[in-house]
Amino acid sequence: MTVSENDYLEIGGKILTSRFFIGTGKFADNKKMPEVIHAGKASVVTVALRRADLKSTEENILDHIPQDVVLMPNTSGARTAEEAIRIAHLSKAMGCGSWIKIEVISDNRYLLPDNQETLKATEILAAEGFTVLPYISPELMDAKRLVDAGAAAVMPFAAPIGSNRGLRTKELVQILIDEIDAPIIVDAGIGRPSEAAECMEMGAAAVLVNTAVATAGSPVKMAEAFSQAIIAGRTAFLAGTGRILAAGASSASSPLTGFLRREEV
Amino acid sequence: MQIVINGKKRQLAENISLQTVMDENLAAGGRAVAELNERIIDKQAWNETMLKENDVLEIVAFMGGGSK
Repeated sequence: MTVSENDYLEIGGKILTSRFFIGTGKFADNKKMPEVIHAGKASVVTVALRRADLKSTEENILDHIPQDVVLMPNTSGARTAEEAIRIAHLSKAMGCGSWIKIEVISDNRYLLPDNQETLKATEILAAEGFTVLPYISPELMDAKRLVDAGAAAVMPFAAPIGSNRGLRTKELVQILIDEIDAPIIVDAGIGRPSEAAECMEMGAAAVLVNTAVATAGSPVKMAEAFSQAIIAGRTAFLAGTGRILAAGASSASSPLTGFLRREEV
Repeated sequence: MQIVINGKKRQLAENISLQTVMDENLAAGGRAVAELNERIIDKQAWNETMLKENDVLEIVAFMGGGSK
């Protein structure tokens, strides 16, 4: 099911089949991944680059990711722009396209991104032809600079990575949605489908979820729930939400009928 | 000769190619990228790339991951 025939998200020259991006970390069983991705109808799937586990007989994560999704490696582990660029180059050499999620983190407690290093890496990688999706703290001027530097989208966090705490940065994210001329994809911290729906109602272009699905009782069912919530939120955004009355006011939704009480004519 | 593979010192025979090291260390069908002394070596060049004393080799691959 799609939102509507004319409503599609295009990033880096690719028309995406859904507005659900999914991360592949923390899953208890990687073999479930195709079922999870399928249930969520995710269009973009993130992976991380690590030293290969030498002599391991475990299958490659790529064996568990369907061919029809866009693969988006991230630069997790990078603490500087230079390290992020090195990871991006290695990822591209894997031969799975040129999308890259820039993630530069040196804060080990809250795992908050370093917007300045992220901008440096974005400038260089976008100029090299990568489709760059930077993960940032939601800050308007930084987001503008990233788009000027060639970012294909901007990915502000909702709450710290892996926290499942929901959309704690709502007002800042709304400012990015209103002011930035590029897709805003809410990434990190989304814990429940209702929170993903809220992001979409606000006008976010897409949502990236990992922990909330990976740590759910049933990741497959949770992926399906996120898919539905994202579609519902997007449809609501396109519909245009109704007005909100001030506290203390109300407005009947049913026509006032007179037949219950005798009224003077 | 001694080289460093993924952070660990290893003793290897002389005149060994990158291809041989990759074949010996990766599971069958393993997809990986080789970075020798911080330079990415294309797969097509593994055969002709001979390792030397004190080389630093990183063998990396994709793993599950969302963020950090």
